[in-house]
Amino acid sequence: MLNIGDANYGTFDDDNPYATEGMLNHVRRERFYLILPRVMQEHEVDMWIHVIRPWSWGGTDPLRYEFGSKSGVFFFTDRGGDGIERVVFEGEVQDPGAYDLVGEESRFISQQDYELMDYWIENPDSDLESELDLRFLGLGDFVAERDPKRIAVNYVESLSLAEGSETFTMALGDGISYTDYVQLSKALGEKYAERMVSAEHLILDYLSRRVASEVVLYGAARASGGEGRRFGKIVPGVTTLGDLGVRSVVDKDGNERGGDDYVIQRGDLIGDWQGKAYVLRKGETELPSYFQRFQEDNRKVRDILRKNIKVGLTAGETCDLLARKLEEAGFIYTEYQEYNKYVEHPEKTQVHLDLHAEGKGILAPRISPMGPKWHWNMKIQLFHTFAVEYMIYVPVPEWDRGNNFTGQQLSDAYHDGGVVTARGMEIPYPDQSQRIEIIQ
Amino acid sequence: MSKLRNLPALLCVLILPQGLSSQLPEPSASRELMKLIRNEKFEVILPQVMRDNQIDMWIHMKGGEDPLDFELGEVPGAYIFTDRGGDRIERAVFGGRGDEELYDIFGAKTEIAQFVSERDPNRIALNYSQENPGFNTISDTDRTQLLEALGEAYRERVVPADRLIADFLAGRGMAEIALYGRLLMTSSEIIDGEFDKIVPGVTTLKDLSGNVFVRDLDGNEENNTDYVIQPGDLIGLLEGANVMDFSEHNGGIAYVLREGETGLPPEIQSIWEHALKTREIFRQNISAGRTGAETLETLIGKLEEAGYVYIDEDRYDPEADPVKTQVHIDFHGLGRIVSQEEAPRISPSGWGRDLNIPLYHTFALEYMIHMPVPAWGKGKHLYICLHDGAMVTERGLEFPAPPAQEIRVIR
Repeated sequence: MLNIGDANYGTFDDDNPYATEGMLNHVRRERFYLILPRVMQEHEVDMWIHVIRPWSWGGTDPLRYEFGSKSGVFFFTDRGGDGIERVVFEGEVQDPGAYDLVGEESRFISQQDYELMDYWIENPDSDLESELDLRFLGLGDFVAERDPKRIAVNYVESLSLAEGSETFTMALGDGISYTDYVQLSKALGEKYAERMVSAEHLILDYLSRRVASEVVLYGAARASGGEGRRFGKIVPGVTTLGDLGVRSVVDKDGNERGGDDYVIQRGDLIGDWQGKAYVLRKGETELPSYFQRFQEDNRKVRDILRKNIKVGLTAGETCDLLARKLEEAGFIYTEYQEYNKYVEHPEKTQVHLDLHAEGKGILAPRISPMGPKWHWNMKIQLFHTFAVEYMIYVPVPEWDRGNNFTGQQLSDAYHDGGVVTARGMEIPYPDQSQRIEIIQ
Repeated sequence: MSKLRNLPALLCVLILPQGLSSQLPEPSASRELMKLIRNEKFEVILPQVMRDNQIDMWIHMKGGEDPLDFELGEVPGAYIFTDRGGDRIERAVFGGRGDEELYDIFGAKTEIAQFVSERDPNRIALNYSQENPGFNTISDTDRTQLLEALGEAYRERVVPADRLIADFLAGRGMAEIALYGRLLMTSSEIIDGEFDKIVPGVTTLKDLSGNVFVRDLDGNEENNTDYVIQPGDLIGLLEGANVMDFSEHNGGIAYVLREGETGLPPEIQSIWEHALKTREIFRQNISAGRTGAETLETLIGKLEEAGYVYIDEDRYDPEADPVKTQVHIDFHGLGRIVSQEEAPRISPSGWGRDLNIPLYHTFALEYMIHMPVPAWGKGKHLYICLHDGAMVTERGLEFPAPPAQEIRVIR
């Protein structure tokens, strides 16, 4: 199916060479096979109806990749046994083999001009009040035949629709339109309409779980990274930032200096997330103590993350646990992405966390003070893929002449990859380089 | 028995340049990725396998070539891992060199005895084996000198490290799983490319790369010979992909249409349906924690309940029920060349049968279907071999990359 590409997010995008159509179809099938029965049973849902309205081209529906479609009426029914019956009406899907039935219960369902014309030709005496009554024609019988006790439908009942940091790829939409909800209720009839419940938590749960092949795609996205930039020859007093293609340095006093014409000086820390270099001052043989402290603190922070992120806790519980472990280890956990010089112990290193989901949008647990509350209430699932994103602020009293207005401090931000398994947090691809090249 | 009869021959195939028409990138192994995989094995696999095997200290005396070259590094020396409590295992190298970011302690061999006594381990695993010569890697000289240096108190605490080593090699971190999945995709792409080359009546089996085979209705096999592929043939093709020490091989099946056929004939469709039905039995009944032998017994029971005949060898049994389809199993380790044979194995043969299947075990779901077709005569049967890369998780069996989806039609 063409134009499905924009329904794939992050590591599922076209720029991941392993996100082939075959692999994406495989992931979808594995998720239908391994995850769908579990989440439906855990949420005590017998039937899940998901409507993506026609001609919306998928809009922002968060399940368009999961279903491999940008419009359709999807039915997932637990009919006993191990599998879930998967049916799509009025939907063109990327992988028809993933469904038990791809068809049209009524050929008038998508409300196209020709369909409506055909209907009136075939039913000249019809007393339909509105052509909208054709919208879900025949679906009542389909549902009644399966007689579900609880029917989850894609409308939001209690979750906020917050869109903000990191949600641009896949926000939690409110799902089915009011019109479709009314028409679906009419089509199902009073008996089954009363059994409809919000699918919001089911959807979140389904999205937050991962299969092994998703770990493969996630790991493939940045498998060749981590080498870090090599700076080559730098001559203090001669080489400029423009020569290096680097935007700025932090000088020996903690001031940020920039511009292509800036001439590298001894004591400068050069670089960015792609790699760093430090130019030794006269008499120095190694990194100054505050850089060494920064590296040591960074190692400790990573160690705390590795040891304490586990399957089963909620993101909020994990965030609280990490904050406590950081404090116990002598750090200050801060909810803000900036250094705060007005704390009781300004000599301590401050750490901010935003370990949001990654790979396929962030409708998943978020170990962070940011985002809507439901992010924090979600449990961390097997193979949860997430950004190891955190910021460290190390105070540097020696930089008393520094011009960084929030206080004299050395900071950096990290954004690497993590996967949660039964063993805890694992690393699926090389971290960005943390090496500081020493320039004599 | 495994279709992997001739490992050296297959390895030669594996290291050949991959197809130039590849759409997937050439599998690569950056220094950073290899270092990450090594470190992850130390971080997440080593503590688990040492505790599973009740080992407090593992001494690996490395001389020449060794199954642990990738994990430990190729430099000779004494590699000593000590469980001192906590989440991490202490890593030390004596008399050799190692990556300073991976190892904590470096010293001379003369310091080993004191190092050991300071840690006072109750059980010390040493790299020798009474069961598996592949893991008997310590030299006589090293062993004699080490045991003498350790003294009587610690000498008596030394046990073989073979099972520990097998478990360590079989353990997979997530970076390794991701690489495994990429290699599986690459080999599937190569297999497709080989099938694209077939011209019925012209192409011979040996014109194709990989392990290519056709069996007639009596079970006689042509394997990488100058046999010319004919309409009506069911062709099996195993081909691999590798990068450094990481390797896997996958399987594909193709059918050559006869004149007048437009799709798979009913018998061929039927054997494929048996492949899917048995795959489902395997998916439902493989889990971590049991040995390969125990798992095989379970699978045999489930196969027989479902109306199949299990066979210990990959050969049609003419004495079995003539209408029942026969199934042979050889789910061997996959992902690393070194741990293909010496890893947990769900199979009637192999040392690894008695090893526990760990979580995230990567293996070949290799099984063979022999389907009798009584209408064609007594003993006449069709044969296919399935060979897909799989992995054991908490949920059972998962496929990190797409398994064979169909019998490919060649016109």
